[in-house]
Amino acid sequence: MARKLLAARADLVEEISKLARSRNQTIYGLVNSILEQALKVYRMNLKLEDIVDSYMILRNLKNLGFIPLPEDVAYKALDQIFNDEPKETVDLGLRLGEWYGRVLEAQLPDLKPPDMLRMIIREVAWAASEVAVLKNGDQLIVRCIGPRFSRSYTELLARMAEGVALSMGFKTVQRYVARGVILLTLRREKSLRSGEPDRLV
Amino acid sequence: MSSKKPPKKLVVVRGDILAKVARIANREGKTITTFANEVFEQAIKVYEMGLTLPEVVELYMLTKISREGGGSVVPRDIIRYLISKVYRSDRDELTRRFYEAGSWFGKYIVARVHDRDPLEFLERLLYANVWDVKEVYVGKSGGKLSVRCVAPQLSEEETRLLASYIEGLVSALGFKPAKNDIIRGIILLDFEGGGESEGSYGEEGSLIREGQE
Repeated sequence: MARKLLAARADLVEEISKLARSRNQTIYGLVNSILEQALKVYRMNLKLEDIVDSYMILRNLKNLGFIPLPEDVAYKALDQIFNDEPKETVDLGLRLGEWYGRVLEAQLPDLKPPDMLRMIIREVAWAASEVAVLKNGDQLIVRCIGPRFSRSYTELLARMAEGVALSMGFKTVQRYVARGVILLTLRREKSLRSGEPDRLV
Repeated sequence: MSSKKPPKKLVVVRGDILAKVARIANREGKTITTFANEVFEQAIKVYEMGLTLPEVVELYMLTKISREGGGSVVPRDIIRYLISKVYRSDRDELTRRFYEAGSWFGKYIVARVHDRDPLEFLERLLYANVWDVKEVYVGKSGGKLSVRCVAPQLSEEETRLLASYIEGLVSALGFKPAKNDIIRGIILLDFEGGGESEGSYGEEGSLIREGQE
């Protein structure tokens, strides 16, 4: 098999060679394996970065007590809970979102609020057909569509998203939530501490 | 402002891989070096978490299957509530629903994954799909398949529902339940048979522990 030379940042190459040594692999073998995985991902029209971030968010969700559940079972249970205790359910969503947003912000400090919100909603709402978070000046517009969502699930998810936004200093100024449709307009409320970089930019 | 570029080093790679990388980098409007740097950064991040890139990519693919197969992720409180309200009064019905959900998902996997034996990735699939699981073991010996899950945080009721889901899933892959031993936080299931899948999986089995998936 023909071999060729690839130029990369020296510090990264150093790191890769350290990794290869610790795994008893050759640099050649490890670099090829890494690039092959990246190619596999790109062939699926995805980006390696998205997959790694998605993995981290899912791992965190699992650590924070989120569990996979068949959709119909989850919706049925939520409908019952929502009927019995609507206020508590909504509060739970908001609290979970806020807490989760804070945990994730600490773990993924480089993610900007729109990306963070989009990724969290996407990783939680598996059945969503569309998740978009758009930046409009100091506002964020959140749009999430899930034709299969139940009414109670939509409400819980919307509250969770608002909780995440709250943890990042954004407050809901407009909301439209109907079964399967979430449209939120969020505005930055909390002023940045002096010297704190503006993560929206 | 200094525009000094960071120093570079040369690494040897397979020629065919580099050609493909060049095509993608070109499509993305990047240099091969920029593309490789981005990939290496992500790879280092993954290896620093004690994982490998193939593992993360596979887990992503398995989660994608679960997503597309009608799964959802909900706060644990939902299942606790369900158990508190329904389990005691209608335990059989709830157990049946979990069995059926697992069975449907198993059939979905068979229909969806044509090029691989589902047993090859059953362990990782269970790890991605079951709740709070710390260890998953799937081993096949002769005509017998053993599934073990250790999830100490689960309640007795949660453990039983989860076991039902797994039984449904594995049965849909062509195995018949032979023996089960379920106590709070521990699921030990034995299956027999295996239809077309039999013999295509390693005899020794393997074990996944939390943090090394």
